[in-house]
This record gives sequence, structure tokens and C-alpha cells, in this order.
Amino acid sequence: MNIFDNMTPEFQWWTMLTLVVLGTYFWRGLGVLLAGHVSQDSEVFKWLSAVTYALVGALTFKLILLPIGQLAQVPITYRILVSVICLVYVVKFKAGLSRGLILGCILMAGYGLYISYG
Amino acid sequence: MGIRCLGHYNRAMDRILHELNSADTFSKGMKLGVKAGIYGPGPVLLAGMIGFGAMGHGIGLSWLQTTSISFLMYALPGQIVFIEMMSMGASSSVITIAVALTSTRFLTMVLTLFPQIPKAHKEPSRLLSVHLVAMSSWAFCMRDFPKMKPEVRYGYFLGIGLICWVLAVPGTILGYIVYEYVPIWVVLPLVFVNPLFFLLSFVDVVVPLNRIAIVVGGLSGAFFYSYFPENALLMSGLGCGTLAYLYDYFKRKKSSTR
Repeated sequence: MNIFDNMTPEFQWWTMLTLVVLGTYFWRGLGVLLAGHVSQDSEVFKWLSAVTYALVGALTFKLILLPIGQLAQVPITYRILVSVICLVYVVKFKAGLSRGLILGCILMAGYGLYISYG
Repeated sequence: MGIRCLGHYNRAMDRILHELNSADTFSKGMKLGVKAGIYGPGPVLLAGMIGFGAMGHGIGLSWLQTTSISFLMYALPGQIVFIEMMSMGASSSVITIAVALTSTRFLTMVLTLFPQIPKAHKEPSRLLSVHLVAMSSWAFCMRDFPKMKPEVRYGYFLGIGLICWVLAVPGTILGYIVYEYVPIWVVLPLVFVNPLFFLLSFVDVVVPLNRIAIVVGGLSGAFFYSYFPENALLMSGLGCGTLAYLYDYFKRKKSSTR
């Protein structure tokens, strides 16, 4: 039986938040307890970081390629184009993360102005 | 004007780094940490949290729910995984596993950061202060710790961590409010800032295994989302992340036997 079955949607939501907060804190707390005792070159570490990066990679691609909300109004080709331009700007021209973000925001605002007044 | 602002910013950061060399007490370290946080990771984190507030509103959460997520989780990728999967109707166990997996990076981050801070008799509890560890503050502490005396480091970490955490709440509320009342040309950059932030931060990933994991996870994620939206993140993260690890493991084994 699912523990969520007898809960109101509001209570379900806050219970869910409690679970994910604990799930997030678990790794931070474990880090404090293990600091100085575990090798960072172990295979478990390598596997964990690969899983983490794959997950964040999937999330990033999803948010850019298949967004929900207002971002879905922007054509997929434009979203990809802005991402590529910002990547090239940061990698090729050695611009920092902040400058890349500012450029991306300007390009997105430009599209917003175009559909509002163009 | 932009160049003048950038010049002012660079001078301020140089001053902080210079003062760090001579700082010798916990409180001085903390003050410098707060200053470094305002000039360094603070603005990027604030932009991310404004974007998260706007996303929360777009998905249909209340302002209290959206702000509570930022305050209690304080981990942007996990926060976005949480609200995205909720909006896709994923089950509670799948959401918890995906969010917990997204947060595994904190283990490696804490394990590399905390051993550099010497233990003092009277110090704020590390089990509490570890909540302040975030990607942005971690990167700054790792960069600046070698430049300062060890006894100042805990104060510096708390200063940067606290200012960033404090900024997370008003940032989220601002993004939530702004989403409703401002035109689309303001909303679009706000909701795009987080995926762009993640994408651009991948540039600094140097370990080949992690680079492979990002590409494989990202491409498979786009595929899985189209067919299995509820469990796509878990399939890409756990499945393709493990595949990338196995590929790297056997490649290393093969080259070591040669």
C-alpha cells in the first residue's frame, strides 16, 4: 500500500518535499562524517560522479529541448542556436560563465521583444 | 559603463584576495567571505534562484512552496528535478531517488572541502553548516583556501555560504512575482538562465568520464523524455551514467594490462 494514498494533495506535497530535503541533506551529512576517511579515487566515487553528471546532463538537455511553460513558445531551433552561441562564446573566446549567461539572456530577451513588438 | 563596472568588480575581488593573506581570525575570515560572496557567486546564484522562482510559478506552485524548496533544499539542479518530475506526474519514490542521485555531488564536494578546514574547539556545528555547501560557494572556497591561513577558512566558508543562502529566498520570491507581472521578454531570459547555467558550467568539467556521462546522459535524456517522461531522468542518470562508468572502467583496465 502506498503511504500517500490517504493524504490530502497538500499534505502529500509537503511530505514529498520533506523526503527530497532529507535525500539532499543525506549526501552533505555523509560527507561531514566521512571527511578525511575515504579516498576520492575509489571506484564508487567515480561511478557516483558519472551518474550525477549523466543526470544533470539529461536535465539540461530536457530543459532546453523539451521545456514546459513560457519557454516552449520559443522555437527549438532558436533555443539550440542560443545555447551553441553561448557555448562557443565561453569556450572559444574564453569569456567567463557570467558573460556567457548575460549573452544568453540578451538573446532570449531579444526574441521576446521580437514576438511582442515585431 | 560596462567596462567601468567590470574594472570595479576586478578591483574589489583583488582587494578581497589581498586582505585574505593577512586575515588571522574567524570573524575577519567570515567578513571577507560575505564580501567575496556578494562579488563572486552571489549574483550568479541570485539569477538562478530568480529563474527557479519563475519556473515554480509557471508550473503552478504557490509562492510558499517554491520558496520553501529553495530554502530547505538549496541545490538548484535537485530543485529543478523535483518540480519537473512533479509536473510530469512521476511517483514519489522515483522523484526521491532522482533528487537524491542529483545530490550525490555534495558527497564529493564536502569530502574535498572540509578536510582543508582545521577543527577548532568552539566552532559552529559542521553537520549544520554543511547545508551551505553549494556548487558556487564550493568553487570559490576551493580556489581561495590555499591563499589563506587554515584557521580563517571556516569563517570564510560560512561567510560565502550564508550570504548565498540568504540571497536564495528573496531571489526565488522575486522570480515568482516577476513571472506574473512582467512582459514575456523579461520572463524568457529568467526561465532560460538555469539550463544555460548548467550547460555553460559543463565547460569546466575536465574528467573524461564525466564528460562522456554528460553527453550520453543528455542525448539519452532527450530520447527517454519523449517516450517515458515519468522515469526519463532516472533512466538516463542511473542507466547511462553507469554505462559511461563501465566503458571508462574497462578502458582503464585494458590500458593497464598492456
